[in-house]
Amino acid sequence: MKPRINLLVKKSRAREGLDAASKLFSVSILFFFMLAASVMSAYGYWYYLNRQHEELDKHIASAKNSIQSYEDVEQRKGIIILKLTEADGLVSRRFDFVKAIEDVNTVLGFSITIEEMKLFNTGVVSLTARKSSQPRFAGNPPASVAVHQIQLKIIVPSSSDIDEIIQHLTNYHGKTLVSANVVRTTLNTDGEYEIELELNLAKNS
Amino acid sequence: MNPKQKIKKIIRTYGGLLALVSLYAVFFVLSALYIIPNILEIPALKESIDNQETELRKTTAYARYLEELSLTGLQAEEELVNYALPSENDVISFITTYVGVSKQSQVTVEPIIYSPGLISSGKDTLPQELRDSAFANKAKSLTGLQTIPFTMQARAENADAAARFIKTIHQTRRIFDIQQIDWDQEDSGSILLTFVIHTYYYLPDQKTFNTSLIDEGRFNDQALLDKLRQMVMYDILVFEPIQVGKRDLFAPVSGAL
Repeated sequence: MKPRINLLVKKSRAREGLDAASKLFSVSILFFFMLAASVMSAYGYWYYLNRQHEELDKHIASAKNSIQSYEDVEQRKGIIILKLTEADGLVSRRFDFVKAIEDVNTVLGFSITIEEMKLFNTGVVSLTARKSSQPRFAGNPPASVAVHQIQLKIIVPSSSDIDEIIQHLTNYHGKTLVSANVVRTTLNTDGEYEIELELNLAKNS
Repeated sequence: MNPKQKIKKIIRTYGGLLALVSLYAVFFVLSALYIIPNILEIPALKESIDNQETELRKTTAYARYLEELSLTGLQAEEELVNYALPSENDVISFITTYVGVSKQSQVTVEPIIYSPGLISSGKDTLPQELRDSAFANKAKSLTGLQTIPFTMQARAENADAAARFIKTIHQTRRIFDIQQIDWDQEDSGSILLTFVIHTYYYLPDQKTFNTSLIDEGRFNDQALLDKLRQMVMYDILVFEPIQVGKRDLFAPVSGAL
């Protein structure tokens, strides 16, 4: 018996092999294009961002040029700011002399007649006064005062008045009065007595 | 089969495959060398663009602010601030303020004596150390705040008038800064007031100002400008009445402040 060779089967197997290779080839090409498309779109996005970056650079440079053209305005405004800051500092640091005068009168209870007063912007008040009634120190002095030291010279007619003032001062417990010192007592050429006191008040917070 | 035919056969059989492999190879080489490094830059680029957008917004706003400033408010602001703190020893605003302050009712102010380097009113009571500092000031620094000390002597009819006068001195637009007050009660009941006052001018140092301060919104100067606007200047009171043929140049029209 002659061997039977089925050429058709061989041919179809060969065709199947070719088809598979062709499919693989087509898929590879398709994959290549998809890969290329995705890479190129990412590259396109980079390109777009790069252009945007350059555009923004140009805009910033143009805005900076515009600022540069207003250099004199900038300089003038800078000087205004420097002066304003300085002026504000000067105004806000100013000592309130009217309040200081009110404080002195309040602390001393309006019991003396002021003859001479020197007010310094450091918060020190030096005053010479004549006793007009029994000197008294305010029982309820102002909570915050502009003045922190009163150098007080009171002129009294007799030495007993000095005792009275010192006695009064010893018994005084004012909230704002930190300390009181009797600096000196003297008899002046007019036969009057002078008592010099130093009253220290709590500093204005 | 000779080698030539062999190669031809190989090419005929595997040509497509070879072409595909070459295409892939070229693509990968190109990508690796040029495209991928650029793609990897994208996150950094996006961040940089965000920063640029912020910078552009700020820079544009600042440029617009400077433009508006140059068109509208700058000159007015300069006039306002330069009145309070001139850039030179501005005697005119100083004298105007002095004369304007003097016009308060129930207070008589000694006329001002102005001689180079020294200003005083009435008797010369300017303490020696202040007098020295006035000259030392000039030598010390040619930029920044410069002090002009002067004295003012006034007689107030009563304590209330004196207190009002002190308040008036502190409300002037040309800054008058009281350093010391001598308060002498006279037998007539009036009060003799001697003031030691500082007024100032400011010599700006062009190099020291910081432009970032001007940046819109960083330095709110409107409150300070408003504060200055509320302070009193006396130019209208002192200068408006001046006319040809007028004898007393400083006499006010109505006389009342």
